[in-house]
Amino acid sequence: MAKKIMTKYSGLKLMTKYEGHSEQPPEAQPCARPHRQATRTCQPETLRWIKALYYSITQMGERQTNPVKLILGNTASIKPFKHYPENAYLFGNDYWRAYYHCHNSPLNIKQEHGHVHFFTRNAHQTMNFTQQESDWAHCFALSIDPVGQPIAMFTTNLWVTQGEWFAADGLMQALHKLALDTPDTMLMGWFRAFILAFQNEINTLLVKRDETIASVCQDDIDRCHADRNVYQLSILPIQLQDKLENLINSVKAVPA
Amino acid sequence: MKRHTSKIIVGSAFSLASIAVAIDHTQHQLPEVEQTLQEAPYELEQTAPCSLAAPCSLGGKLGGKKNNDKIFGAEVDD
Repeated sequence: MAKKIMTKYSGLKLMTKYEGHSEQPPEAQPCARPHRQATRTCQPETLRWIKALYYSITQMGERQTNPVKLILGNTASIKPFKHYPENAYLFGNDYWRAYYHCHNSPLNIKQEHGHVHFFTRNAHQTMNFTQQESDWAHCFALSIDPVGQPIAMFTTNLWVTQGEWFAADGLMQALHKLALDTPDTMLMGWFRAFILAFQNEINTLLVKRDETIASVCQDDIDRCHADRNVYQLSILPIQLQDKLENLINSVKAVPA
Repeated sequence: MKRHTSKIIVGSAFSLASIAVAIDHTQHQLPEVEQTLQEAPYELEQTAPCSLAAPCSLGGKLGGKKNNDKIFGAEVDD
């Protein structure tokens, strides 16, 4: 059982950080294999996206690249806080946006180079939407290590990202829009496959986020959303290899 | 028998080694982050993300789908 701790860092409260970053709450790994010999598998739908993620990674490997290299292109050095790309990607049937940036983070994620921020909008909203920032809600951020590998997912308070605020259920509905998308680039394909392959973990992360904000806010959620002492709301380490190994477990689970 | 053969083929394709190799081939050093005053230690409160209005906001200028492959000219897909 992961132990919740609350850390103060230069006056900044970090909420629900899992000690050591090596432990995961049990409910956070519905698809992970706890041991090599285990044959626990994911739901077929999730498995489909894990397979898509594997092929996406293989494709990138053949081109000697990774998602962040594709985002950064020939950029020689990265300016802190600058968005890559500046205007954010639009994908997932126009229901998702993403950008990458780097800055010193109070989150204490070891070995983080930068992170991809994923935003979505109301899944019930029609296509008549503006391109305004206020239409979009932050879903989660994906921490990337210095060699371009995802290492953790986290959520932050509203003042950090601004825009809309949707509860976990609302954000998860946007995943259905993503599943219907036909990616037009390798990077968009990776975005889609990654988010859908890790949808159970993302759900756990968002539920935890909502629990944290509820426990901190008491009865004044607006005040809490603007409280600069509350930055991070939930965090979940990622084991990419473990996720992909579900493919092997799924084969083992099929009776001969 | 046919099913058993398929299982072996699929099992071979997703071996532990192939997954490790696939991930390994995507491990490439990313560019350095410029060290500016904004990246100063957190003891300098005025330079920390928490001192910014919305350090991770989407930003005001949002592009359309053409944005997906024109930025930095690096995203080329078949």
